[in-house]
Amino acid sequence: MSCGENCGCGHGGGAAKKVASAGGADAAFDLLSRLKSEAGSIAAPTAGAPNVYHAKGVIYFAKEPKVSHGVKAPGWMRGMRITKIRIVSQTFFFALFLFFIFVTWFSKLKGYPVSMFLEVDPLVGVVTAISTHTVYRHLVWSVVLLAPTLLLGRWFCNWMCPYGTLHQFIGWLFNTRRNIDKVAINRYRPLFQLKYILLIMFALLALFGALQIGLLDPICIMYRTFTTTVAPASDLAVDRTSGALANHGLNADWLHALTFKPGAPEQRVFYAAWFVGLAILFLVGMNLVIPRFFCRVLCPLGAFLGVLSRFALWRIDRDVTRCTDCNLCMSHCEGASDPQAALRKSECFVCFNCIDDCPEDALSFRFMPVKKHKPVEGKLFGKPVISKLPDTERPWPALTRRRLLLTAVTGVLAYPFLRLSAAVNPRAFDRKAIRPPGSVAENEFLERCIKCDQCINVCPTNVLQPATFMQAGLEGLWTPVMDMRIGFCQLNCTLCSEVCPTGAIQKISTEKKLGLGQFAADGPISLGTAFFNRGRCLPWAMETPCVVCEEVCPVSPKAIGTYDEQIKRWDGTIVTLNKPYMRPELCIGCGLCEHECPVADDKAVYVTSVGETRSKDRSLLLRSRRT
Amino acid sequence: MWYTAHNRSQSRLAIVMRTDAEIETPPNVEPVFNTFRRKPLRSFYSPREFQIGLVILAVLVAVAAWVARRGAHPDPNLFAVNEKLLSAKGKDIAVYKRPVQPWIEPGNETVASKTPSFDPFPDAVASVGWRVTAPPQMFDESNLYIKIDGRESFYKSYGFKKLHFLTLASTEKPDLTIDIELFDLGEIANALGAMTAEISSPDAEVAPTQAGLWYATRNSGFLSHGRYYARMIGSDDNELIRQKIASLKDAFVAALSGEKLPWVYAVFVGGLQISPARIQYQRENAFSFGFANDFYSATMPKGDTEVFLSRRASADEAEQLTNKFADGLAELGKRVPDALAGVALFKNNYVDTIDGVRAYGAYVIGVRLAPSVEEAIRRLNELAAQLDKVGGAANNPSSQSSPRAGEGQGGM
Amino acid sequence: MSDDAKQREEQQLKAQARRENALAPRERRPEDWPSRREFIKRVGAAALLAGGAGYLWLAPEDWPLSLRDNTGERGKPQQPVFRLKKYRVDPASGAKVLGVARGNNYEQMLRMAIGALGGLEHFIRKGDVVLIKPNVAFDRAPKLGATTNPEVLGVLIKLLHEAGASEVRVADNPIESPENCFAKSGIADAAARSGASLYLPSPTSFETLEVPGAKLIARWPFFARPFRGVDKVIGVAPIKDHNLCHASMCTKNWYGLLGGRRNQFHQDIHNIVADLALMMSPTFVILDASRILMKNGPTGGDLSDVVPGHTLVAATDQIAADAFGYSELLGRKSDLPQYLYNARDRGLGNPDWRNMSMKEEQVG
Repeated sequence: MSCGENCGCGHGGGAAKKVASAGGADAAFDLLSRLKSEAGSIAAPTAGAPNVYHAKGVIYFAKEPKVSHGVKAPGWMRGMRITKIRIVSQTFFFALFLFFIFVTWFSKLKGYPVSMFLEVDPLVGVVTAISTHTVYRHLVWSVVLLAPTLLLGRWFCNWMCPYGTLHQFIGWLFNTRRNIDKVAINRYRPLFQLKYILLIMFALLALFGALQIGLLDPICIMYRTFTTTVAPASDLAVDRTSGALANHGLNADWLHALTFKPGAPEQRVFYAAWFVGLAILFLVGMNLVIPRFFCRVLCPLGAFLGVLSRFALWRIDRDVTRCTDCNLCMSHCEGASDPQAALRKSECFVCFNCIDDCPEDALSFRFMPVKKHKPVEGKLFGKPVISKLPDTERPWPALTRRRLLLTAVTGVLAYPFLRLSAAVNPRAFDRKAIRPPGSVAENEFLERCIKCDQCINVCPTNVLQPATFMQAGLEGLWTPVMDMRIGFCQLNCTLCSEVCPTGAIQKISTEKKLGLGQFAADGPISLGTAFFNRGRCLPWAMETPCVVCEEVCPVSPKAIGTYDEQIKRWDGTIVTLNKPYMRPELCIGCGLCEHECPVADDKAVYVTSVGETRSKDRSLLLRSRRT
Repeated sequence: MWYTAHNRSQSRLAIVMRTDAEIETPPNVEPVFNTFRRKPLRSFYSPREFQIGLVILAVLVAVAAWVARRGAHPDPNLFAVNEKLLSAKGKDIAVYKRPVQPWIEPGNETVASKTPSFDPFPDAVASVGWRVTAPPQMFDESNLYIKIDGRESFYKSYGFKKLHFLTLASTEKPDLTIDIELFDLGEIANALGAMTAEISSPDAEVAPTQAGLWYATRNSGFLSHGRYYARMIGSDDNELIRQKIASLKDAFVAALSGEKLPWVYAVFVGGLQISPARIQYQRENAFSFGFANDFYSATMPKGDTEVFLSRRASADEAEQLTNKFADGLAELGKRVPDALAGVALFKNNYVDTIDGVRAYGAYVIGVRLAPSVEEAIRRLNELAAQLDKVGGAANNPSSQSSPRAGEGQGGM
Repeated sequence: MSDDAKQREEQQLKAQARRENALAPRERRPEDWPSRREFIKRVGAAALLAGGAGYLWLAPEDWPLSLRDNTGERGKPQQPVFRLKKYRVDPASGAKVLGVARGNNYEQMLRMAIGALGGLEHFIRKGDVVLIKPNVAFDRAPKLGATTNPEVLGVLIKLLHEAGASEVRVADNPIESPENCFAKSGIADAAARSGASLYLPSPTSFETLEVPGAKLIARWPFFARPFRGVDKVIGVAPIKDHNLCHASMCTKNWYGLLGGRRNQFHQDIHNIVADLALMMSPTFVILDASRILMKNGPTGGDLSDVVPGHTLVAATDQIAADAFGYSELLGRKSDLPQYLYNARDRGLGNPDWRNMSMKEEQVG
């Protein structure tokens, strides 16, 4: 047999030589019989290897010539092959993801299930279930992904995952390797064990109640990146361009309709967005070094699905009798799962590229293929040989027991190191760790928040920010906190509670938030308390009239009252000063006062987290509204 | 790594003479984008694959339809305020607003302005168990309507000058409050008149005090003291309130200055034992007679008999007024001929009672609605006697003033 | 000779030999010289670069394309400013200044009130682009009286379309989140149903407005995008108690068009409201007294603060409308707010509504 032109094996001729061609296995046996008469005895085929013949120390493979079993595929059927369908599916889900990001806004949200990708993400569902012992609200939908994974393997990674689509697309777009390098780069590397290590560590942390999978979960990364970097950058570009076009008299409404967050009077800004942006550039850029770098090396969701693929009923099967070891199947293998050898089930993305690339049609997606071939022993050039590896699959990830144990120990130890940091303890919590309305108490919050930043995405006033280490320690990185200088909590708005997939922000109604109707006895939800810095307040310290904080306080009766006093100023004019004071029983910590205070650099009235109603640790007054 | 046999030629060191043209335009070896057209090398396509592909496409369409359907059913609570919630508040919180502190130029302050004063309320207004909820408010003629809408004309007809208003709240039971309205009506007559006009029940127990009258109900107290008329209205029928009102009365009586209770009341109440509630003061237009002003009248405890009197500046004036009165009464009734000397008695045509009037010194006294002549004469004598007793400006009953005879004879 | 001396001598000899054997640069052969074309190209390119850069760098400031900036003034950011035109229309003959309609049917009331001013046909020409500025400052439900009544707005838009307006725009820059405010106050709905286009603020919608003669807002960021190409401007303001300036009515309504650090104006509230009267000369204003926020304004928040007013006032003099509203509708007996006197003193209106031509009617 000679290799085809595209073969990169470089042998210039195969080790197997085509002896003769005949039609059918019987005809081949006849041929061999003739050969036997020339060569001597010929061993009968064994049961385990029906097409293998021995004769005089030479191993012959009787290869069935290509016979098509179906109809000769017409052009349109080739156009609808499974890899094309896969591309359609990937495009569809990526577009759906972009659509969800686009409509996560007050005027566009309607009833769309914008957190759908997070809710069907099985890693989110399972690890949150480990940390909270419950399955919250829509997280039950993760079974929609889990069930097919148990049957088919890691189909999600290459059919639905938008992050995977992004990596695959960038990797394909800038892939200028020659075939031989493509094959080389898709080999399995031991580095790919890292994702299992990460998965185990995260799972152990979750077992102790510290939920950190959000740091590396691909869907969380996608939502977070789009929220903090892509959408604001796009809005900036669209706004400037449409503004410039409008200034020159051109109609730019069509462009303006592409704004992610229309009606926001100021450009949306986020803490340390630069870091998230650089991280995504790095991770996506690494595709030019190793294709699907994140998916193969870092993705804990992929690791989880890979572990679940252990008992998959369908997998890629390689017909050893047809395979010529040309390794072309690896040239576009997305998962680096060794289809040319024993398939690594936990790595295979079910992308079907290998099936497309095999010139011998040796690969197929089979139901319950043979796991182990009987090894065939024979002699080649006088040396005993065994025909290939007996295993046709590697079901488990290639993680040694030693590594597993060390990972577990690290995971267990990491928990107390994280939890002993001051920021997450009731004695030293940060005053600026103001959580959204409807949040659960801090310990529980850290058990639930997957740092997807959907709440930050939907917040109409840009008050929610992804926390830095300051507000809630390492555990609280990228969890939502409020910065009242940037925005404020809109009184009648409960959008953040609607989109939170894991219940870190419980779904609340406006009634509950404001303490009306059936919740009147509980009183409104308070996020914190506002405090006056009288040394900076204009009427208190500077004899200057100002009463903006009292004017904009949205609760009724107002949480800010004034002592009205007429004075004669230093310049002899008589003014009436309205000196504001706080009514802590009424304050809900919404931060409108801080936002509107004209002392812009260091506000004279500011909200801090003490006095929030979600946790007894952080309460201020003994006799609060709650009876 | 693979060793590529067919690349060996390229890896050999090549020393080649290149032309200028080649040097100046080096070949483009680094494409930016992927330039390979990938061709699938497989040749077998199963129909099963095609069918599954169709199924998957159908699933995608179903997902899109589900998303669209979810989009069409939003949670209305997120996007609009439920109007029913607007009135679904918890308990109402009443907010106290401190009044504006005015600017007082240093040096113009008085001691009084430094300490909060309740003037004219006595300090005893705030006592143990009761606190003042707000500084006293003062209203005069221009803004009385703000406080008492509708009743202002009543008080203005009684010479209203000022109203001081104060609210007390109990510290033991915050629900209990007492509103104190202290009217300054200028003269004691006005104060008495206003108070008696307000008392509706004729059997109310009204007690005279040294400068006025006092009347208490189950939850309120009314005191006239000199020119002041105090109304203390409690919020509830409660013993604490009654006690406080009683102590307030004592405080007012002690602290407020007031002239003594007028002689009229001494006459009526002290002498004739008429309950002060039955005393009426008609400033003008008494009994529908245009000329009659400044009359006190009182209904006797039993029956409908009404006695009235008025003090005039002089005996002459009293006489003139008496004659006018007699003329007026003559129009309404028939002169009773055999009357007491000096007394003009008339029998009313309509109601069959006796009306009479006489001048007594500088007083004009009279009786109305008496059932009989004897009764009428008796009352007049009593009244005259009381006037004597009270003395003062009472002149001796002069026989000089005699009722006009012959007038009004016959009747209409 | 010693070794050192020998070494030194050797070195000197070597150096001398090097010097003697040193070669001058090889003389150029004819074929080494560049071609004439090449020479011209190079010299020309160098001269062009040097000349261009030299010009840009060194030419005096007033020469075209010069980059010189001797004092630093040229380097300061140049803010393009714009001015609002006056949207006032000359009054019709026999027109009143104030039209007061009492009743319950908003359409009849508006027709009567605007009719008293001369009728919409007098103000609106066919094809006009009309901007309505309602008060949408907070996300309050309409019943709480803190924002313009959406039904009144809807009727006004309908009437404007009837009168021939080609486009009706509704714009405001609220204090709270714009989308929430427009939606929950019912204004977005009313505008959509009546066919008006909604303008929400965005970062590039603001430009620097120049108001000559203003004390506080001589130059200030202004919500300019909705004003492009607008012919007529109508303000529709609710009547509200205000904790600082005693009442928020037609004149204060224009506050919602300001951008930038407008939270500083509370330090001199009466002058800023007078400046707003100078800034905006609307076609006419409507004082929406269908609901009156009697106390706890401007945010309100309690139904008990609101009373039904059953009144709509249209006026061509916003100061008079404010004075009328203060004394008649809010029922305040105290003196008018200071800003009305400030405006009067600057010739921006007349608060003495009792002596102005006015028509009041009970309608429906």
